[in-house]
Amino acid sequence: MRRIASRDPNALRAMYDKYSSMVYTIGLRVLGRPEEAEELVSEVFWELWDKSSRYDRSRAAPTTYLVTLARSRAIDRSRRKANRTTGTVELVEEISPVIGITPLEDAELDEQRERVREALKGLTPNHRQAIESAYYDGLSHTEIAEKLGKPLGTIKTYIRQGLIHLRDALRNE
Amino acid sequence: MNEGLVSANPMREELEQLMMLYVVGLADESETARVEEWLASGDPVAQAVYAEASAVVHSLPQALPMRSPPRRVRDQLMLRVLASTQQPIQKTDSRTWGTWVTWSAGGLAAVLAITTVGLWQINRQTQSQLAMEMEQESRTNRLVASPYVRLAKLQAESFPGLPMTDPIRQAGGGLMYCAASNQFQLRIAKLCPPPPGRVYELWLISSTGEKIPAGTFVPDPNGTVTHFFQAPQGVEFEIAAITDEPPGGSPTPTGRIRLKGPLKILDP
Repeated sequence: MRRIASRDPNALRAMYDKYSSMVYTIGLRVLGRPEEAEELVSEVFWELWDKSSRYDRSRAAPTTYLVTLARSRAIDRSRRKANRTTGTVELVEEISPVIGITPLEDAELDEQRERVREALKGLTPNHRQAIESAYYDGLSHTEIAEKLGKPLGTIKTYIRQGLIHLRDALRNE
Repeated sequence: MNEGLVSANPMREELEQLMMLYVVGLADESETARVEEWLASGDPVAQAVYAEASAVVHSLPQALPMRSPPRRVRDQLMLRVLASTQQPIQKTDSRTWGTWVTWSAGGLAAVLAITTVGLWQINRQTQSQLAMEMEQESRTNRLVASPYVRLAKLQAESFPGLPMTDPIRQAGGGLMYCAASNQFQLRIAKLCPPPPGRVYELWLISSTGEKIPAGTFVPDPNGTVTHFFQAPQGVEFEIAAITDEPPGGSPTPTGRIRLKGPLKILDP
């Protein structure tokens, strides 16, 4: 990020190669359509380049910052288009290989992903659905309660318990 | 995750849970105020808890099956990034003309009239230049936005005896080809003027080594080149190169290659 802030295009290219798949996948999950996910990738990495001074390394790791930015911009786009399509259909299609990263980086990312998948396995479907509705669709407690047909208090409990479980599972790794 | 962050008391645990709700966007107004007050207090623990909550919440996408965007998204982005690093065109120094106006106001009506006409002409030229730049930018944006783009990164062609101080070493740019419109755009920065009595000429070189002349140009006083042209039909190009040639160009290259780069065929 420091090299990006000093206007080094190679640094942005390296960041793109390592994390564009993550941003694109978030775009597909939130927006549903590949072309909208492509626009999201362009928007997020351009913002990373053009407004690099917004990054505060004391508050988040670069990956976390990038994912935060991607999720935020994806939800903004989704709200603008009033399109609540989740993109689940897209995600079960053929999975493209991730480009531009070394085998070692690929292995590290795989390991991280496996840890998160394992942590999510410990959630009940209700907990998971409630958390994903908040995270990917940007819904409020009330909206999630309406969507899932559960009482508001139950949804609040699902989300709180689910997040605690995730935190504890990832801490124990 | 950080083992040192495991909460030891209910108050702390509650704050940690609030922080996760805050990060995911589900904290209500009073909870948000509480969390933001804690973060603003300068308490390093608050920053650490925020960092952990962010890492936990934003790890969720890692569980999704990863898919890569098409290659052209990367190339279009990098083209835009590289264009943003080029030197801006130097603007007219308004203080010079201000001095002229002040001097003219001294009572020299004739000079004032001449200067006024001169200023009007310069203003018109500036407006014309601005309009041209805007048109170029618009064409670039259309080209970048189009699918099936190929790129060649142009760099100084190194050869034995080329001095390290040769100004051509500073030049760099790119050639972008849009198959949809069959149009090329050439952009170069920091290109030194060609030798006296010469111009630069762009060559497109096919897989069989055929060298197709694609147009002549000279850089502006800032060393910048922005040049659009239609590609010759029916030829697949693999390399772009620039030589210096006599005015008007040459049907075959006669000068030394100054800049060169492979034209990469990108995934649609």
